Amino acid sequence: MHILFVDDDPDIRTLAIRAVLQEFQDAAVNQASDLVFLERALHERAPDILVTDLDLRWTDGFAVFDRVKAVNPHCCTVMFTGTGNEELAVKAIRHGFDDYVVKGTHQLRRLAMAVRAAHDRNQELRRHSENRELVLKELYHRLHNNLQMVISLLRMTEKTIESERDRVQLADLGRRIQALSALQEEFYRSDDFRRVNVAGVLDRLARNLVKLAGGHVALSCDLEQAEMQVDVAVPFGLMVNEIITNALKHAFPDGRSGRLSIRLARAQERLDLTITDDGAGDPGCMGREGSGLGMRLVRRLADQIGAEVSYERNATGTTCRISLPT
Amino acid sequence: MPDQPSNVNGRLRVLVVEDEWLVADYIVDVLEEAGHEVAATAATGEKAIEHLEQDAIDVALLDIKLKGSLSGIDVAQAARARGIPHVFITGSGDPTTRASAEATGPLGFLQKPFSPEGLMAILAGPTRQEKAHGN
Repeated sequence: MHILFVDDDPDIRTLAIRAVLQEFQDAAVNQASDLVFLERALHERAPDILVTDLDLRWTDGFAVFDRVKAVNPHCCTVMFTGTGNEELAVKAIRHGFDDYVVKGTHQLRRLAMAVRAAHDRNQELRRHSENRELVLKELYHRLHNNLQMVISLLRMTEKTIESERDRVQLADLGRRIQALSALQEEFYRSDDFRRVNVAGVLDRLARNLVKLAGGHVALSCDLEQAEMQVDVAVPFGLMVNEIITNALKHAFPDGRSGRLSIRLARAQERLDLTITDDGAGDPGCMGREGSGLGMRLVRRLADQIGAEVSYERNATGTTCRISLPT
Repeated sequence: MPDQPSNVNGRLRVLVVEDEWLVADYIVDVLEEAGHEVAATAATGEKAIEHLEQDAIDVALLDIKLKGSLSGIDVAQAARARGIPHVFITGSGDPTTRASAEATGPLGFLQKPFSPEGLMAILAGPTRQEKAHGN
């Protein structure tokens, strides 16, 4: 346990330290009365508890808070100030301080109790957070295992079906489940479960599909960094999965070599994705507005996220454009 | 450089280590359809190590979380000690687990749910390399 006291007045620091140490008898203490001391203290050891004044000659309590939290985001923080009013108390709490105590002779005991309560509360929150992390890991593991079992069941079912066409449909369903699962993993890996870097997602998705197709198609990706909300990114990823899978299947049949280019660019309040192949472009290929399930999925998913999809075929191949609002 | 499957004619003798029979069955089916031979399947690390010791195995496919006291990472270390290459197939996305698994030098890492093509790509890569080198 390491406690840092920041105050210009050495007498106040001494009194505050004495009071707080009654609650934390084994704690190590550091003090700072200017920037050099603060940096030295932080360098020596990240504090577990910060007690800081608001008005300092060299900075203010909010800046000290920010600096300490940068070193230890879990640090428990209490403002101990002489300039007490409700407005400031609210500001301190909103900034992230765990508590706020107004200075005064009879307030030292209150400071010690406030620090103890804030510390215990923080510990409890951390325990909750760690438990939540464990549950999340277990859920993730279960989800992926269960999806694998679904895929296994699909394959077992596939074996019992005589119709080649139905078997292909079932195998495609398995691939769609895998694509969904891969997208899910991107969110698990991202810092924020609600948003994801879509350039990274597309890059991995395209590389994986091209690799699985046998590696006879060269892939070039020119992807601008862009973040996307999960409720848009999942349908968007599934659309791209369908379009690339379709291109690989129909534009480059029977191991034919060629090139697939993917470009993601941000325009005014829109995100534009173009997927271009230089393949055979037979009537089954990516460009057709066919009646296949894949193309139907693309159209319905596009409607869901307000995206516009267009196809263009010429002598050199097919281009699919997806434009969606950001 | 991880150990690589020794079989160069494309047919590998594979040890499948997976504690969900449904998933093990799927892996076996995928392997056999691709022309490989399943030397044995095991649901625990202890059983897997017995097979590593007793059977002729070219490559081991390992789930990480297993029934019993040993994990797939323990089995990987045993395989590594015998010069048998291994591939992880796991549902875990935990970076710490993944780092421990990577440290054993696997041929590849497949995230569940995986496709038959994904597994074949990992098994085919080194075999192709060996052929190219005329081994």
